[in-house]
Amino acid sequence: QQRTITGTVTGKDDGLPLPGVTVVVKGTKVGTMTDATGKYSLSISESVTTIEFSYIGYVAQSRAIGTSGVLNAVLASDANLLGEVVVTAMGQTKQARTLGYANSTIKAADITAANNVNALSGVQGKVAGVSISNSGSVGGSTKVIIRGVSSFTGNQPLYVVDGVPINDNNATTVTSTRTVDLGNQVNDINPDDIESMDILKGASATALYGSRAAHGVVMITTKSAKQNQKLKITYNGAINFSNVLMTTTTQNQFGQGWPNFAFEENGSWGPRLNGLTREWGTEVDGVRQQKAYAYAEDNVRNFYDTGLDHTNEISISGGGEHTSLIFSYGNVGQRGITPGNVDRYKRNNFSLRGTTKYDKFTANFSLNYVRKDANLIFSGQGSADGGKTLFQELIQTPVDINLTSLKDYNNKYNNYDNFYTLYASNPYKVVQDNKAVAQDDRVYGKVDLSYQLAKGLTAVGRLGGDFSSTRLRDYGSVIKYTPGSFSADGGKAPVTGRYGENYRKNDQIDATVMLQGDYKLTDDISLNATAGGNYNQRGYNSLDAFVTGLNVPGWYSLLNTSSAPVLESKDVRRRLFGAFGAFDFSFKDYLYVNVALRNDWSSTLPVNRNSYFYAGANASLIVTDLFKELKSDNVNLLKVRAAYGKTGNDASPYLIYNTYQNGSAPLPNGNLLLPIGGVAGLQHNKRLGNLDLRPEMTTEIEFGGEGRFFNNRLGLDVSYYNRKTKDQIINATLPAETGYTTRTINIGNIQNRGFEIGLTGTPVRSEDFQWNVGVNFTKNISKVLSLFDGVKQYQFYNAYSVDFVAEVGQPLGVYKVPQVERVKSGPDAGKVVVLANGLPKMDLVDKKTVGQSGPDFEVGFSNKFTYKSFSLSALVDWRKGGYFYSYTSQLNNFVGNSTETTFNFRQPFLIPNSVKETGVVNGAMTYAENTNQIAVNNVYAYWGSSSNNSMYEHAVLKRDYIKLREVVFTYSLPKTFVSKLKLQNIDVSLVGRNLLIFTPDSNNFVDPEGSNYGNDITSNFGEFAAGPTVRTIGGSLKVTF
Amino acid sequence: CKSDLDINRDPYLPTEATPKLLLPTGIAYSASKIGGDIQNIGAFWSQHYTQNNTSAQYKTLDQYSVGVADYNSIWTSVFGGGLKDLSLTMEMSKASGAWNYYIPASVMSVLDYHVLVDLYSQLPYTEGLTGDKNKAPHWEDGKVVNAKLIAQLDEAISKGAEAIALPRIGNEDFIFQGDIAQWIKFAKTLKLKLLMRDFTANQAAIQALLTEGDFLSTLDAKMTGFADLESKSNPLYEYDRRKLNTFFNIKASNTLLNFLKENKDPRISDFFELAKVEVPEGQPAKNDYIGLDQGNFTITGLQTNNTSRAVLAATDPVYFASAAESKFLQAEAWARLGDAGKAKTAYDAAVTLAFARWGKSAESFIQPNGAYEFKGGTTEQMVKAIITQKWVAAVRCQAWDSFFDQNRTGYPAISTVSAESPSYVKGEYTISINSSLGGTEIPRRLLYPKVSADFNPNTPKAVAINTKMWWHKQ
Repeated sequence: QQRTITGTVTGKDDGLPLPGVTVVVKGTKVGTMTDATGKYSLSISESVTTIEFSYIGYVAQSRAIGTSGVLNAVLASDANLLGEVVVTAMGQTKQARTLGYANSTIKAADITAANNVNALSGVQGKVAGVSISNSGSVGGSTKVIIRGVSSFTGNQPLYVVDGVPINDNNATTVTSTRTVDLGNQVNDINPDDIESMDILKGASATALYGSRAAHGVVMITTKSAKQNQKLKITYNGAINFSNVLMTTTTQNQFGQGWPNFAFEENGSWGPRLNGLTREWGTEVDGVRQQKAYAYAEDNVRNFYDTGLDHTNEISISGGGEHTSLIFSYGNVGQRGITPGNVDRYKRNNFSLRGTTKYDKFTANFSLNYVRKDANLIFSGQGSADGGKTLFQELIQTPVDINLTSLKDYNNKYNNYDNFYTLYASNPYKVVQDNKAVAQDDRVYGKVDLSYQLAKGLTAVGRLGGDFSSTRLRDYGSVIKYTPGSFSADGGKAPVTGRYGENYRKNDQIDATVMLQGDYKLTDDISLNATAGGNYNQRGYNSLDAFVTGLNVPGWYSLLNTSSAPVLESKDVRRRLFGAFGAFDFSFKDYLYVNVALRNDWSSTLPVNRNSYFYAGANASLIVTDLFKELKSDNVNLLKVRAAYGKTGNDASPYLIYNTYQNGSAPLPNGNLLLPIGGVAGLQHNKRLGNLDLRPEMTTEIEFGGEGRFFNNRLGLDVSYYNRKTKDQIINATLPAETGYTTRTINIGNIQNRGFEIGLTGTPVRSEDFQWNVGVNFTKNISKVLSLFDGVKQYQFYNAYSVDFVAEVGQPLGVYKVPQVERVKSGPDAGKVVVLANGLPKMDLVDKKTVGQSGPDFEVGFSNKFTYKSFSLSALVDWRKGGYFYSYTSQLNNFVGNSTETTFNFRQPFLIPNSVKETGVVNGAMTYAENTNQIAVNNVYAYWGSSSNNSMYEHAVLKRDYIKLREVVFTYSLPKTFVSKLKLQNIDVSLVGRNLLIFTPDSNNFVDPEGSNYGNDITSNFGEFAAGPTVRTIGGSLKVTF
Repeated sequence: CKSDLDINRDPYLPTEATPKLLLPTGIAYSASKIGGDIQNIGAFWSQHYTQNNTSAQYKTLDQYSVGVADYNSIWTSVFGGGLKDLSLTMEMSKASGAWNYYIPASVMSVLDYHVLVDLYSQLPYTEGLTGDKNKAPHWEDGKVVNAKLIAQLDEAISKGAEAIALPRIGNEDFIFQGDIAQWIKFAKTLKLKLLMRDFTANQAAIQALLTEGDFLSTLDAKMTGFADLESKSNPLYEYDRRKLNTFFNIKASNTLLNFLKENKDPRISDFFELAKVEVPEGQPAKNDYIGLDQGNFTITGLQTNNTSRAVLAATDPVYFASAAESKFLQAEAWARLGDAGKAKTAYDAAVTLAFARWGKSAESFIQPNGAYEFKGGTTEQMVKAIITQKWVAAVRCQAWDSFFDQNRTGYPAISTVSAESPSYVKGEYTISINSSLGGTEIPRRLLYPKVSADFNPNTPKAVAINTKMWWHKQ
């Protein structure tokens, strides 16, 4: 007796019907597949009790047949299953099992789980080999480093959306005076539009992208509607509250003064706090204010407000017989934690994407518009024309002065004229006076046409464009002091005021044509081949104008000056032609060999030497399919893989030829800019061009293995890679006596070796309860093998006396700090030489190496518990090892706010194991045991790095941290209830991000993740009075109509 | 396709330049350092100025702990900057016979080299400035460099007549507005200065040069044209006063201030601002010139407005050589040649010019029994009198030259007692309170710059900052 069973199979994540699901009678080959609408119909015998549903990339499901003739199934996707389809170079899809390199796919649910306003932050801590960090400021940049830093500039990956590269420019100018971080452009993507992200890490995986893929490729696939899909509407909304995550722990023993109590000091070098009421600050109308001379608890924390961000996203999708469309609108609003509502960010995303299919013809298209508005505050040290910056002013507040008491900046004690100190400014006023306002419009999209020429042969043409335009205005308020006031009398520097405008347009056009063919060469061997060409043009033009010294306060115009505006125009353009081919062989169903070849011609290299070739090859062997007897319930899958690949990096534009430029002689601060007195001048460009420039080349070998055990409940993925990057293109320092200071050359050889381990497990799996564990481990060891011309050290960046350098034999990016002079030889050898004032004498020639910026290892540890409709997940992110420069620490030591400055109760002390000089005898210095104490009123000089250079070493802190990165609790409302509302799904979540941070005792200053140095190699240097990172707690609602 | 890829030239940067555009940049670069950092270093180390006690900008300078990486921009801006622009000017103008550009460029570059060689003791003069043709130029001894500089001056001087016959160049010559005759005087003054580095060896040449005359006598070799505008002002003013967050870093050193006070020198108001004297409550406010002992930035109790700040103006010219300096040089040469009469004439003219620079009259000072009367005596006594006045004349002018003069002649002398001691002679150097050198040591040079040492294997090995050079008084 036969009966007919019908039903619909849908995906658990999006509730959409799944076409092509295999539906079979368990234990037999009797079965069918679901149609385009996810429906199936199966005729079976009465004796059948169980049907099995299976689909690539989803967890297979066995269901008992009830009495009803209808059996619907909801399949959950399984990111860990190797049958999964992944997106590889050029937007091709492949089965993960065929890949000979480590692949990481992150699904939509993971990206958006914690309500991140930018997509990449949602990947933080979740992928081995990929280090992601966020600057912490509102709208700030996200840094993505794949398998370690290997270039001297431009270490960010290439971002490809639906097969088309997009821009990822970063509009951050890195200076130690005034920095705002407008974020990098990949942050513009609406996270809710993303279906999945595939991260291509190794050179073999990215070789097809040639010279743009040296630092990996992030392939983003957006959500799409399906043919014949019913109209579907989703709404996601989230709201999050944020507060400051970590502030400096200040000492609580000594109060205002320097080194004696002074009403008007900005440091805590004064006497011991005693809680007694005493006068402080300036005298106004003959009267000073009074307050308790006591420690202000949580001073900086109390200064900040609660921040707020919200996200609203709506998408409408549906499909007809030929065309399917999805439209989405997303809106993000962020308000930072700075009081006065001065750090704000808004983003509106509109996206229309679709597919049209007619017979052999398919078109995919998308059009996206993004509008951003930001109002941002500056970080860094401040400048004479643009005024002070917030974070610097907060740091240098004595520990007994309650910051919130300064809030009313019009109060006669808190205003410009009478603010309590000459050396700092009212932080509440600073953020009102100085700001950057940015507005950005961006349109990007693509058209992708394909036509099936014959069976197994398809022609594809793809055109993408990305155009954005940014307007940035920079305001610095004029500050003048009333003659006779405290500030005027004390000689506080007035702020002359500043106004700037910057207009910038970025563009990218990318066109690809290719032929794709599928052939069966023999019964066992099949070949999938692709050949094509690529054209890419990128560029930007900008006009920057600013005036410093405003005549009329409050009038922000380029005309409001007695001087001329300083102007700069730029027009930068680059082109690239590429020809590529990919050949993927498969032997039976267990051996796969993939070969990729590419040749590039780049406009940024010398015209006659602009062609260069890359290749990559990898192989994957499914051991459990080759030796089927190995396969069991305990060993589900074993795979080994090997890969070799080469990628490269061309130069930046305009580095080949020698030029002249407008005469501008730099001064220690500012410059001398021609014309002077009406006389114009040109200067030779101090960077010497290079007609012999070659592209930078990375070669990498990679080995790995994957295994799945115990009914797929344990998964392990291990990779080892060894990559060498040669011929980095840098502006190498030339000794200035050559007449030039730098020359663009190919230098060096940097090695990065590492392990990546991914472990997934399901310790408990039952009908109602499931516990999933995921661990990813990343270890990268970098080493500078060589530099250039016998040079041993190359400096990337420096702040004060802390240098950040590449040094031969060391990991890439180590810190060099001043060291004390030690006795070279004799009985006192090794002892510190001390001066008459008790401070150490400095070695004026050599510095010492402290350590590297990179970590020893990084671990992401996640747990997810699912019980019926509830789920709870948590992610812990641990970074071990490495250092960073912290100006915050340096300044806290200088002003006596840091805890370490209470050393020895600030009583006189002798530097241990030290000697003093007793004069030159017979041409050699003689020494005696040191008796020069650091006097009580000079202890501050010991802790100040300007008077004691050895203190710079204390500004280089351990970068270690452990963060509770994400906690997400989700409840899916019961279907019965939801369907009464005529809805499909309602999920509500409670979300926490960056809830806790643990740092080593020596870093009680700042979150090491925050940086105001953008997202390239200089951002690894550290922070320069950067803003704090935040903890967010919020909730979200996801509704599917 | 090939032409589509040939787009690698910056549309906003020219690939050609002319002497008319390069000369002013070369001079401005020289001014940016000689009138900026080098002037400031000279003023601190000549004890004109000292670091304010309530701020920190120049502490390392004032405590003599200047390391290999400090002030490297002197090297990059002069060698990698102005000197290359001047050498390009020389190349181009030589090729076209434009001696009216050649002479200013050549003499200016000699001045740059001279300042550098006296700061560092050695210089890669011959092999430098050739870009990547020689990435490791050899350094030459100062003595050798000086001889080559004199040869370079002689060559420039020899083109004088040809240059004067050409049309006069204009304001692109920031120094003499194209007056080649003045450039020749500048060249000869400079030549005399270089010869004086080794008086014994060059005695005959000095005698001959003095007899020939034609030194700077009324006009100064100085860059003018600065305005009180952002990026257009005197370089020291621009970075110290306009750009720093605290512009009260440079204070009067008691070494100079007490000397001026003792001699009632009217130039005191041109050099320093009045400060507020702390008076008991109820008493009328009072101002005076108040200095700090050299290097005493750790003193407590004095507020910012309790000490005198150095006067600097946005429109201050940058001096490369002055008429007064020229006369002091001649005075010293005559004194060393034993002609006290000619020495006195030159000395009186020098002091008069130095006062006149500030609109003041020196008459009462140089007349018999005046505070600065030239009293003759032994060569050493005469040199001491000349250099002491030259030291004051160098304030807010060529402080760096005073630093060189002290190294060369030992004047002003270094006091072995503290400024508070009754036996202290006003005007003698005191030891920086926070000195990192010990004893009565003071800096004699800058260390070979790290930007050179790290990248040029031929850069000499590091030498301590208080190591004397061959032409220094031992």
